[in-house]
Amino acid sequence: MIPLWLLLKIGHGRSPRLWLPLFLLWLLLLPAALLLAPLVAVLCLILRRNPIAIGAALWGLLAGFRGIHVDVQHSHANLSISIK
Amino acid sequence: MSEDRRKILDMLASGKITAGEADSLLSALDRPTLDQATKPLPKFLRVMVDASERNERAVVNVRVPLQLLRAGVKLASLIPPEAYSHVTEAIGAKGIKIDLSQLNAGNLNDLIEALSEMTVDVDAEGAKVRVFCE
Repeated sequence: MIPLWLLLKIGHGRSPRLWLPLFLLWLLLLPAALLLAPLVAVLCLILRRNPIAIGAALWGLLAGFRGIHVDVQHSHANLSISIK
Repeated sequence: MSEDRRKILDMLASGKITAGEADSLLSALDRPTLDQATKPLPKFLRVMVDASERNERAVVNVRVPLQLLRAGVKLASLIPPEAYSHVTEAIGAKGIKIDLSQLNAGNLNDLIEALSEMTVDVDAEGAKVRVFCE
């Protein structure tokens, strides 16, 4: 499953946590991906690579980002990024 | 040779047990224990840094899914073999002898299993770094 949300929290204590919808980004990128698909297919034919395998690997890479968590705490500022 | 294995061989040498019994005992030693067999593979690589400088403290906690590593290797396996040799040469020029073509999905599970045992602890003046898999 590809990441759907990016949780971002900047600041101390009770500062709000932003839920950024990544699925909207994927929806926006979908037309570009569809436009590029024939070009990628031709490249795959030239390079003799399986386009389905490449697509699956890229999907897996994207899905791998889910679960990333970065938390930085400093006396001046706190930052928390989480991909869900 | 482990202590248990030596004891079994000593018992065999002194005639306390038969060759068949020694064989079954040695086989039992080679079998993974229930704990080892059911141990799940780690899912995340965690990096924790605790640094302080001029009375200011900074704590960094990063968690990266190992699934990302798996996906990267899968993607890398699609690289043409000719490109692999160029990459291996370039890495070798930096003094790191790794043949990336040997890294495949099968080896990767072994690598991740080995990583579960790995912990890097750095305790320097003003900074502590810990890297481990969980």
